Amino acid sequence: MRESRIVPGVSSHPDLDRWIAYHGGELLESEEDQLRSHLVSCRACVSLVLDLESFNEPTCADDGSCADVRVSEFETASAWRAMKSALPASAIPPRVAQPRYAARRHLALAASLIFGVVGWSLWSVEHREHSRPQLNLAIHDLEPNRATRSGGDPNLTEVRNHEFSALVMLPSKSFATYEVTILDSQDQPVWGSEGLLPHPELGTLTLGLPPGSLEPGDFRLRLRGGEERILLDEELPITVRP
Amino acid sequence: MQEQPRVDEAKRERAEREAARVDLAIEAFQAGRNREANYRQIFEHYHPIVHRFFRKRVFSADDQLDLTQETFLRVYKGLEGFRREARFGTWLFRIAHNTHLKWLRRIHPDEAGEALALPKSDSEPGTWETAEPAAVATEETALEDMLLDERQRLLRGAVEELPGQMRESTKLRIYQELSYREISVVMRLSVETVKVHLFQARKKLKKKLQGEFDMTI
Repeated sequence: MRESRIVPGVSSHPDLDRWIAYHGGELLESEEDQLRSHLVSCRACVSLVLDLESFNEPTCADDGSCADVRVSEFETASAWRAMKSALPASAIPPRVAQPRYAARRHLALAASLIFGVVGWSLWSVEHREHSRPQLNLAIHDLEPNRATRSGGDPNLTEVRNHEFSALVMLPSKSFATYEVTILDSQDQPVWGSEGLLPHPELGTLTLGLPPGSLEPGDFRLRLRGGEERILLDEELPITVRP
Repeated sequence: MQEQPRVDEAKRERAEREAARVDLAIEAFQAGRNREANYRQIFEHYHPIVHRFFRKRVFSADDQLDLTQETFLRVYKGLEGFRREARFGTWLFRIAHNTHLKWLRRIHPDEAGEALALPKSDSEPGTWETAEPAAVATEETALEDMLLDERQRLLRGAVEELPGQMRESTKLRIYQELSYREISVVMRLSVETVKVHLFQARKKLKKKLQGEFDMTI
């Protein structure tokens, strides 16, 4: 048991060590009584003891006694992104993308790049007389229950086959990396990639679709997250128009 | 007497599982296994608590974020040396408290001697505020003010006559408006004991002040 000690001459409140000992039941009964008497008339120290309790209790009390200030999951996710950038460099492992189906993934990526280059070239040739930098790029925000910038049904994104489109996704859960797959109407993956990093501050993922990279039709974009096991598995429909 | 909400057993079990996961994350971190993922688990569990801690003590939102991050950076650097026989929450609390103290000393160097960084609702010991708000002084309420003062005086006197823990529990309930759970934490008693104390205090106060004024606790 520790002896009681009030910091002399500096503050009329017991110091933190005393409160920690009191909270942990490490004081003699007489010392406990002394501190308890102080608590009865000191709101600030009561608040300190309750805070100390909240650090050790896994959740808020049944009557919501620690719920006076709420912190949302979004705030915590944002704080983690800021935290991660402040951690020592050695804490962050190097990104190693290990596609499960390496050959198919590489083929799909190569195919999309070829389509992108060829499509862009053909588009450029076709529009040479009218070629100019593409302003007002079609940006489709894929976020549940939010309107897209291009308008229309937020749950169905339509992109134009002949335009460069940017699909901006805000995953509902925050992970270090994500896996994105585009599946056609036959459930066949036409494009995919793992180890995609979100925007360090916004937490969004942006997928660029060059003109002609997807043939007109219905597709599904599958977004997955989680390190050792899949903890996020969302699908979003995409329709490609001519 | 206000009824305490029933304990949500599923919620408590979930909380215990979460606490166990955090313990495992600490252990894995200290063993050098997947540090970022394990630290993130610890961070996500305690971030709301630490952020709340600074929200109650610091006015500026930017300072709250900075101090929260500074706390977790210190936790990261010191986690390897944390001895797991101590309570992690208490260890984290110390770091948060010391971070706050250092910040206070930076912005108020003349108060560098303070050993305890208290939340905003500070008050000097020995003075307690009544739960009833002060009446606005007008000619019409002068009599009401007198009656209010007299009522408070009688109540304070009656409360002072209550025995030991019953008196202290009652004061925390009336003057600091704490819940049963909060009183149990502050007094280091079970919630049931607190309820019994307050129930008996109410009976005694009613008997003492019966016929004088209406009273609810």
